[in-house]
Amino acid sequence: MRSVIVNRPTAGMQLNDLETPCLVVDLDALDNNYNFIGDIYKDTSCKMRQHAKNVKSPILLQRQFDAGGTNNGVCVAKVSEAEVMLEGGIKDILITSEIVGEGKVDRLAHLAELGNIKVCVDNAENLRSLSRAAKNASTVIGVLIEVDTSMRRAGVRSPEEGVALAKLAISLPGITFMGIMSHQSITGYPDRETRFTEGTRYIKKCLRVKHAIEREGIDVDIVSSGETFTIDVAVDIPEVTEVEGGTYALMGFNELYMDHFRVAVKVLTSVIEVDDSFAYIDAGIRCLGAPLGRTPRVENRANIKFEKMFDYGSILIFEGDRILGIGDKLLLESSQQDVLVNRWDHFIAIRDGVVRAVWDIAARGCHH
Amino acid sequence: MERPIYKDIGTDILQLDTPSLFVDLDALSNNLTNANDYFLGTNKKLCPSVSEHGVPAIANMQTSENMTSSEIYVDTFSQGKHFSQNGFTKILIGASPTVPKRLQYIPDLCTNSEITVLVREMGAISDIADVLGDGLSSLSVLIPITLSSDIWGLRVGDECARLAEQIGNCKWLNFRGYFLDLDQLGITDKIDYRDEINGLKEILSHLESIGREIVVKSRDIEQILMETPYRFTSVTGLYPFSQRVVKGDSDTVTCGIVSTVMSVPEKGRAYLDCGQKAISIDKGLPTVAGLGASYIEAMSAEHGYLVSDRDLPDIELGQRVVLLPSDIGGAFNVHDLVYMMESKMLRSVWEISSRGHFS
Repeated sequence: MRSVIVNRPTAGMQLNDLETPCLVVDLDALDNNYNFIGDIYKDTSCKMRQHAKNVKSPILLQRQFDAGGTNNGVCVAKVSEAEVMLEGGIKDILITSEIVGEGKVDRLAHLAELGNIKVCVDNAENLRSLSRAAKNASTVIGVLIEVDTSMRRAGVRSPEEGVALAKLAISLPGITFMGIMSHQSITGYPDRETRFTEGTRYIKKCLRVKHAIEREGIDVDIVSSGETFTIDVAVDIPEVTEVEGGTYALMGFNELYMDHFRVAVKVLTSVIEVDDSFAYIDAGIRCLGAPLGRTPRVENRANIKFEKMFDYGSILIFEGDRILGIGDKLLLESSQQDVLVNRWDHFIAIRDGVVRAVWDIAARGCHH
Repeated sequence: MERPIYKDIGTDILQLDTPSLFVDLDALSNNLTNANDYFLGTNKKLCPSVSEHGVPAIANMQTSENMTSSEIYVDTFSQGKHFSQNGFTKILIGASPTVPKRLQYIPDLCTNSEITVLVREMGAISDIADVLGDGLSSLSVLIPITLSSDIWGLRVGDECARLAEQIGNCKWLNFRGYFLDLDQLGITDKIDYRDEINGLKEILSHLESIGREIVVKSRDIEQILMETPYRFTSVTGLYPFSQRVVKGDSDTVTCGIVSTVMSVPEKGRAYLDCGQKAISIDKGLPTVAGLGASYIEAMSAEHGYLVSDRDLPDIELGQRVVLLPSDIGGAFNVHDLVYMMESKMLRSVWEISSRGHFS
């Protein structure tokens, strides 16, 4: 919506000459992450539908399309994100949140005029309101029934609920029933075996709803499930048609046990002042985020740790000799990349220590 | 496509697109008046920290109401530039110009506004003098001081005195006094400042006796400090948003996020359209206004998980829920606009125009 960059860098600038703090995207790491997806989904029937909520930029999403392995569609979390993606030329969009409220539902119905818009539902009342809005707008909205597999948030809780909702969907004007979806966050399982066991268990729970709907003679064309932590699990479950991966594109350092991926988004910071064992840097909570106190880390500097974070600065502590000086630059990695990206207006794209491009984070602040 | 979605003046708070950040204008004005009255009854000055919200329109209300000082405080040089460009003429920047990119801001800032910065290193003084070398403008300087290892600054003593002398000897610099940032003591819990403040009283006494100004920054107005007889300037940011109500009372919320229930998957639980990206949980989860003992159990990036009070009627799909941020500044930091309400009707929409000015 608005462009905040006080001294906008230009292509060709050196990383160390950038005004700090600033958000940089490491193109080598990004390409590595996108190419991995391109490789493993190249010859499979299951495809990647990247979640736009993490990168919030049609330009980045397009790089995954170019690397392959996708169904040329994306997921979004909000109607306003869907609007940005359409403006960015992406036509196939799945909104992975229930959309409730007359204003938003009307906007969604009109968006369906401009692209292939799908939304998840878990409630008959919500489904009827989507139908009314689509009918009024003379459009058709695709719907997927969300299945709760583990998170106790949205989603139907049983195959019977799923069947009832699917039957209602096919009876309503302005609605096309397209399938089912589930989200599960299989984080915190560094060992591959547990991750596969848990991931398979949750996805199969989702598939039970599919089978129940099919037994009623209703086709289920789309099974949208999985996420970054089941990228290599879902691809081998035949009935899953697409995976909703988001984290993998930029990665947080806590998830690097998914060792095919690299951290691609970082904050460049400067040392402003230094003592014998402490350094004060210019990046703090406001630009880095520290959800419930989780601190970032310094890239490739295990001997430097976060001691304290303030709104607009942080104190780092280091052991041994004074290893930092005023003006030194450090790259910081976040534990939660999408919360980090949400605070910035631009990615500064870097390769080999040189600025290659500055890209708007076009969907930043799209909360509605 | 239209972004943000246009809303008519007079729109009911419950009809705003959600999640939206709102401020009640009457409560805000009331808080500003009360703060001014309070400070006028003391020998202290109030310097509003406008980084807390980043909205020039709110900052204007603060300075208009404040009869003790016309100065504002910001945390970064880019915020200083932004507020200077918005007509603020006296700005205290709580940062040190120790690196070239920060130094570059100074000539322009000093041309348009009366600027104060922090300097803790002797090495910085000659760099600042160099960028001010044309003699057309001057810069005021505060030395950040500490009372313990928990605060970044110099201990009051010989080193401090030498630095003050060196600043005083520099032609374009004006040594103004000392700066103590009590917010550095902690970020999540209510801080017990008492030990620090007992130490601070001695320092205040000493500095007042030698005629130096002291500026104390704390997110809230610190009552214990205010009760001391010493003169100082209080930099503080939360007072405009003090809630007139406590958790569980929805009557008037000064500042909150209005959100919508988007799923009620089981009795007693609701799924809200407001998550970390729209409220920030860096300093804790939000609380819920007006729904008794209901609380936010957790927040994902996009959504909130509400556990409802069993004694209240069931939460309904589409119901609006007002959340109170644990960190007002954190909430402003993730929004572009703040909806200004009067009697729960939209009165104006203000841009949070210094959001993202981190440098």
